[in-house]
Amino acid sequence: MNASQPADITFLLEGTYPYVAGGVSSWVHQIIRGVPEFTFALVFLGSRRADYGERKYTLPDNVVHLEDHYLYDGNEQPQVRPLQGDKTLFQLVEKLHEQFKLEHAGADMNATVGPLANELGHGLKLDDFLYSRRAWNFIRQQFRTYSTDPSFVDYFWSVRTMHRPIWRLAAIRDRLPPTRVFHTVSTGYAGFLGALAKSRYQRPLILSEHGIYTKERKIDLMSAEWIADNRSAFQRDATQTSYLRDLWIRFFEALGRTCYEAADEITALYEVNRQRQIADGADPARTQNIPNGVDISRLSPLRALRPEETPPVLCLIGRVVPIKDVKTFIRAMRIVVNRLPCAEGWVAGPSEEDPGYAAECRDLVRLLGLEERVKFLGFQNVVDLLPRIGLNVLSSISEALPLVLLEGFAAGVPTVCTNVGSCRQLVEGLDEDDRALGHAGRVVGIADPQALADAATALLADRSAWQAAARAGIARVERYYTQSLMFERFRALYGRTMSGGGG
Amino acid sequence: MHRALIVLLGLAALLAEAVALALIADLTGTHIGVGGFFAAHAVASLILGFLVLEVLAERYRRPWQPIVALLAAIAFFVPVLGTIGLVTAVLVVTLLPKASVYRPFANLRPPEYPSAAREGPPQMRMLGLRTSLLDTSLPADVRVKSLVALQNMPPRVAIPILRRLLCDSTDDVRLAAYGIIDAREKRISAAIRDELDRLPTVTEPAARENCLRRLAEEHWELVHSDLAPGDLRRVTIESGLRYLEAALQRADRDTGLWLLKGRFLHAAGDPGGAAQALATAIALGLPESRVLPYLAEIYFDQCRFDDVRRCMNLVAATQRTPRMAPLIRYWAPRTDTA
Repeated sequence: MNASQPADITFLLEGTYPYVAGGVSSWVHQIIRGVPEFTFALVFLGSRRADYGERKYTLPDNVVHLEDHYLYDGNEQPQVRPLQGDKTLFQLVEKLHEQFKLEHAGADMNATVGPLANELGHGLKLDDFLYSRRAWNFIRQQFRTYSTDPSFVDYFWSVRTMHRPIWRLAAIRDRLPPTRVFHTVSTGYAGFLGALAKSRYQRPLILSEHGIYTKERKIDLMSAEWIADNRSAFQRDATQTSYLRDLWIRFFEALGRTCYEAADEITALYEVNRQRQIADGADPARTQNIPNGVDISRLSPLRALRPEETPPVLCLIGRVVPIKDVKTFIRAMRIVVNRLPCAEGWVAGPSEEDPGYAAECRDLVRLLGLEERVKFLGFQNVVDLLPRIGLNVLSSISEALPLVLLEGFAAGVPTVCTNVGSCRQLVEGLDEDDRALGHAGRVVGIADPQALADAATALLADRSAWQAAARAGIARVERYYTQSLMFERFRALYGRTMSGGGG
Repeated sequence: MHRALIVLLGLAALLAEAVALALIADLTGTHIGVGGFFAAHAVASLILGFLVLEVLAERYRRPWQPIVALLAAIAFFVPVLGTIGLVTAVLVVTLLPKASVYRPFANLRPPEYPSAAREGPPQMRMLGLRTSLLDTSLPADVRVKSLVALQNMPPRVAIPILRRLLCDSTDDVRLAAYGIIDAREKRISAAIRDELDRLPTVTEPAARENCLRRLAEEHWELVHSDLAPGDLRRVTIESGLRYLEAALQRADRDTGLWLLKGRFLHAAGDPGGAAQALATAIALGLPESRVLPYLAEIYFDQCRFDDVRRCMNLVAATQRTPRMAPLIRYWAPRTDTA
């Protein structure tokens, strides 16, 4: 890989490929391999180097460049010196903040973001933000006007901490390899970098979201315990979040909106997420759905390998991390085993990402007396695994369009999954034609082990229902969710944006 | 030390320059003399370079190599005058009082501290929390914010509301509700795990009884807070009762344990056993007033309404807590108005 070799497409990746295994990473890997006529550069953004292990994927040959950046590692500290700050630029900063406060800033926002983005790190340096008199006055005035939290100290440091990575991103932007299209797989920091890069190099930007970054950040921040709330008992209204918490949420919303404004093409995996993107500020005309797809030719031969009798094995294929809610699966297994003593629960996925959570899951197995019935298999090849299981269980609390369900369908394994992301669409169908194919399993509420166990035992105990679900799954995946369909759509998207037809 | 180094370097530079001048004064046209001059002058220049570097302000000292090279070059290529100039500069810097000092921090106007925090726009103050949470017509943002308030409420009250929200049509609400339930469950499970790890290592009878009691109590907390739904409730009650019985074997006169047993049995659907356990607790000395509300609940489930009324009359006489007041008003109205 050449450090400065130009690439057709530069992927901007925050906390994902190639250092983290999972749905988004598999998707990136799949796309890169699926369109070998294009070359790719990868720009990875992480929090700290120590938070990530080795690469989880072997990079395909058409990846010509990879660079890693860690936003919270080795932050350079400019020397303290008194500065005035550029009057015109600070007026633009003020205007931009006013626009962020409005519900919909529209085209006017681009006029503010563009000049400011290009000045970041040049006319508007980190020193100006940290030490200039204008920055201090602006922060002071904003606190006075808007803050409902009485602590200026907490307000000041919150503002400093949250804005600092922006200059890091500007420095990354200045050294990006030459490219024809920027492609970010989330909003957030990567999306903001995409907006900066687009403004600087005048290259199109594609945004492909799996989950909705801003929403996920918001939920994290809502329950984060490190955010101060200095209101006294008399000032506190239990139904209102603290001002600083709101400030953090609005910061990520602003990053998201900047990216939506800048993106020429915005893709979602399914309709609900597309609507969410529009609600968060994306222009409907620039949005479209491109669902995931799987390699049918690799998975369909597995149907012939299945035993005559459906194995009483419920398998959760996924990483052992909180978002997969493995604990609900384990609790459901307690109920299933009470009814079908021969049933087994397999958890097929790596446990290294969150060792603490994995330990909690193993303890829960012990606590519920399931040591003999629930097994942690570690990472498994789905080709070996799928013929040996009876049900593909997904107990996640949040998903987008999980590949693992499609893989199960292609191999003839129905599912019991939670009602998250596009799961209902995958199991029950989207439009009338799709729904006519039948249900490829059952959908239950999140964190409801009872419902999960009821649905699983009902499917396992009723052979004809199981077979009907398997047939529906095969028909649905073959018609709507093939890998070739997905590649064609992305090939067309890249072609269109490169020839200047995006947006 | 620093000043001594400067003086030393200064003297060395002057000495080297003097040698160079002496050599050039004695110049007879020999090549050795010119070479000697240039050598001595170069040494003097280099020393001067280091000397000036020493007195430079901190922020101008890096990178030191090109700075020294530049200063030495000035001294070398401007003979005598360059040396005099640099030495004068050093003298001025070291001997005269500092005219300007590096001041990284300027005085700024402090922020105006509000004497009272700004009031945020009032939201839902007039609405009940439960109403606003379950009303799907309200914006998701408002509902997620009110969810945060549930974190401060007793689990017994909050968890059933949160469970209903797990099926909410809004993703954010569902996830926030899940996060709160999960955090509560995690805390209790961690406590159970700690006690289970401790149990095999504890041999001292009182400590062992204490460990078993905590295990029973934490299991009860899971049941009471509705953190073990469906069939899991039964499994949790069974486990909790096992630890409780083990604790009772070691402390069969502990009234708190008997009270807990009564509550476990009631939750397990054994009102007869529960009433008996509560009666034992009273017989062993637990004040009747603490048991009466539980007893009333058991009688209610058995449809023994006269007994409920009798219990509530006694409760009315002893505990008029705000939470009990509506119950007393219903079951013992005469006592309530008395």
